[in-house]
Amino acid sequence: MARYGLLVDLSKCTGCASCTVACQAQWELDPEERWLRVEIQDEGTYPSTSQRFLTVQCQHCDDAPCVRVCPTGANYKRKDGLVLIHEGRCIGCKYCVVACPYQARHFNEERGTPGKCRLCDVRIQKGVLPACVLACPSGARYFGDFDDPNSEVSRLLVLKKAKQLRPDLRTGPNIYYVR
Amino acid sequence: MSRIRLSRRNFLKAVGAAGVVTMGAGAIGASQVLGKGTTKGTWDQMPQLIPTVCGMCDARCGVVAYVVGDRLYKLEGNYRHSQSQGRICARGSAGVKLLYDPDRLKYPLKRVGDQLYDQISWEQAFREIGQKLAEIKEKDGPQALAWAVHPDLSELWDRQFMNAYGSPNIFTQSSLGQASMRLASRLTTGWEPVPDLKNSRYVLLFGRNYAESIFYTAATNALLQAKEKGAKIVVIDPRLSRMASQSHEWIPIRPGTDGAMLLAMMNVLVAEDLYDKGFVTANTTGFEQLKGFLADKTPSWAATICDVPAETIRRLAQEVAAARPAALIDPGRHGAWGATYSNSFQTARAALVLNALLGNYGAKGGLLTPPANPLGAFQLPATPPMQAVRADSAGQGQYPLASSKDGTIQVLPEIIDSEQPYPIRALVANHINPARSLPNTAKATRALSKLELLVVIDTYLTDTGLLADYILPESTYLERLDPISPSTYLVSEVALRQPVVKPMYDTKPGYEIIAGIAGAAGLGEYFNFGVNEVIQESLKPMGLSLAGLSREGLWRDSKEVSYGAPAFGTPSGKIELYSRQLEKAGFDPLPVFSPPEALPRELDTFRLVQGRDAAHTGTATQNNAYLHHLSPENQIWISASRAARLGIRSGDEVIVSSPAGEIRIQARVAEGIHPEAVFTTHGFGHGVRTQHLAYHKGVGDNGLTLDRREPVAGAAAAGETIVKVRRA
Repeated sequence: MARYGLLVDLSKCTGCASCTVACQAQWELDPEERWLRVEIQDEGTYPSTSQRFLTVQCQHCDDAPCVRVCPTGANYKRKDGLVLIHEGRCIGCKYCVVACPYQARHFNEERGTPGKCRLCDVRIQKGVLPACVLACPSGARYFGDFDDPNSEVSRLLVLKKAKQLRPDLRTGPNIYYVR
Repeated sequence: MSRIRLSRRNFLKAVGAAGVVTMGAGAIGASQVLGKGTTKGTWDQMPQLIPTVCGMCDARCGVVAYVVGDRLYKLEGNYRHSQSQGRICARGSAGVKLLYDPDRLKYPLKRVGDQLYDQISWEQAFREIGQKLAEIKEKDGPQALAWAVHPDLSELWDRQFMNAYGSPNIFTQSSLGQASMRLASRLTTGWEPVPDLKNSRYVLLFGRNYAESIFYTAATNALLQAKEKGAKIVVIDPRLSRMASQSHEWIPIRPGTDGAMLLAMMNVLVAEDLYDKGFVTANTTGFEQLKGFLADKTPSWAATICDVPAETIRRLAQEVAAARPAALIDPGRHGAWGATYSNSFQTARAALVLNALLGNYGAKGGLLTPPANPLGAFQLPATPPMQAVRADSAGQGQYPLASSKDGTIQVLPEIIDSEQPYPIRALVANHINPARSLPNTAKATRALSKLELLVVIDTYLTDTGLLADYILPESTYLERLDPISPSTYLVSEVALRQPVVKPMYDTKPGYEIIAGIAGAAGLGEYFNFGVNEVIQESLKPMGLSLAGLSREGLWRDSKEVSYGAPAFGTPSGKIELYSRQLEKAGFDPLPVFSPPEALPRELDTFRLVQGRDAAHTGTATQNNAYLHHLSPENQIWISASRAARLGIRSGDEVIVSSPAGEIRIQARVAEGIHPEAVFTTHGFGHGVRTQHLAYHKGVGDNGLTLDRREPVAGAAAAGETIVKVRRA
């Protein structure tokens, strides 16, 4: 079985937010709604100072808090690793929005449901890369199947010693980061 | 579920050589594709894929438009285009929000009072403008018309108009951006080199910002690929740019002193015998003079000027030499020497000369010749010979080497104001916003208000538009067919910008607007051609047709990038370390360093450094909904140590003043900036109410800058602005 996810090489990320806008355009989101955000952190003091960039989106966790807290089963984990939302079943209680430790969900008041990264389910089914991966000018983002030991992401995971975001929360994220 | 193999190659097949294909072929049906009960949207429908050329900045990367019905759904990078290679920046993706921005100009406007406009027909606009132009020509001579343009692909029409009218006073934005570097390249190597970033092992970026300014997405990609393969990247910049954050080393240099650092690095290369002797002997002239000149430009000399330790300068010189010839000093764009300081021209020369000492011209991982332009030239109807001389003396008099094609736009307000050397009565501003982009906003605004006739062609009502008599709405790059776009990055390639949707509202492409005005001004005979003829003529040498290119989107020469010592386009056919052309024109033939404006040693006094925002292009994108929300306004960066002494905290409003004016702006206290500098990004502070998002968000940096002129290229030297900062 597949376990799709992303590997983000932060040593190549310039914080340009191309991924953010490509995602918004793909899903026709309002400008305020972001399924993928860039966090920028200042480090050090002059002249040994630097900014670090981190792109955060739904981590498509194996043990996803949003799925656990959802009272209606609207949030579900698909067999290929994607965490998706069954909108017809969502009652708009926002438990999942609060439960997500990565703050990856945006509650859309107009729709009455939360929105979040879908790992471009409709694109990957067609053999097309997720919008954020394709757009990234620096080529910092990789998509693939972590269950396939020969996939590019599995290879890079080992080679570049990629880490999950807050593995201590034991959510089992499928987005890996290279520092 | 069957395994799906994802690669960029697959995507290529989808976007495909056929140009217009649907994505559904061979894919799983939409019902299977969607997860259970997920939202439906445009993404479920079969899009038509149309290859075209981006117009969100002037890099012009190849993109593919996904069109569903008659609506543009989204834009992606075109995998086959060498400048984008499938990548797209935030601005590129946000193009869809430009097309559908409700704040766009929708029909021609005539000003009838302060901020009061009448909607008029194109016929009336052309007739009245044409009449007025004919009148001005009769009364004050043709040279009384000035024309400002941010050249896009249809520049030919702007130039033809001015030639037909008989005025030499055409201005581009070049003197605000790259004029110093361009002239330095022309005189030193004969062409503007293109860095082979991907194969480089050592890259020095003096102010060049591949993360936040204007760049080909493929170039940024190439640089980060090089980094991944182990290349060292060093950024020399008074501010910690995002590029600097992604480099191995950030050198916070004192603003405007890059020239001294380059000379000291050359001194080390020569003194320690680290330069490429073979290359220098075979491909350069004037090495002996250069060597003598460099003798006292030691790292310790530069250290006090640049505020960079002598040891660091020496080490960087040694490191870059060890990596040569796959090592380069990026030729840059605007930053340190494009058109920033009064010494920018000679600094740009120094950078080109240092590259020559590394012997990297034509080398893999060094600097390459720009690709040949394969386009055929359209034979324009002949215009009468030009009688008048330029008002800004670009190309003659005091500025014999400045480009007469581009002019020096920053002095236009002074010319209008003083009526010297002669009066300018009318201005057409095509796709350019001088009221915001020229230095010294107050002076520029005053001068523009003085004109008898100001015509603005643009997609938005701009601050220049507010002063205009006529405002003519241009179709966006997504609604028009443009002349062919030749690549300026590595390989010889051409791409077609074609309409992906029908023009919205009552807008026209810029070239049709110009031809319309020309017809009404009695110059119709010089515009007896259309864009299709120009395209067909330019495609002839390649044996391509418009219909064919419309399907394919682009054409690339089969010749790949080739290495080996190139031919130089200078009179000697070599790199001119010592320039006889400069000597003849009365300028220093060696890349001398002259210090920037002295900074008074006062607690509240700083050098103003301007820069770019990754989300925006100049003053054009602040009202784009996606980009506005990414970066709604600018702040002024001030060093933490200096801010503490001035009692300024992050988020405080501060008053920044210069001889040009005063602005009120939010402070951002930062570690990542040279203590003598304050930094802000360009493009904000629009004063146009109909730009609902951008209106009064942030502040225009040019409220502070001075309209200085660099002496050789005549370029703007807005970096020579000294400011005072205090808490509001």
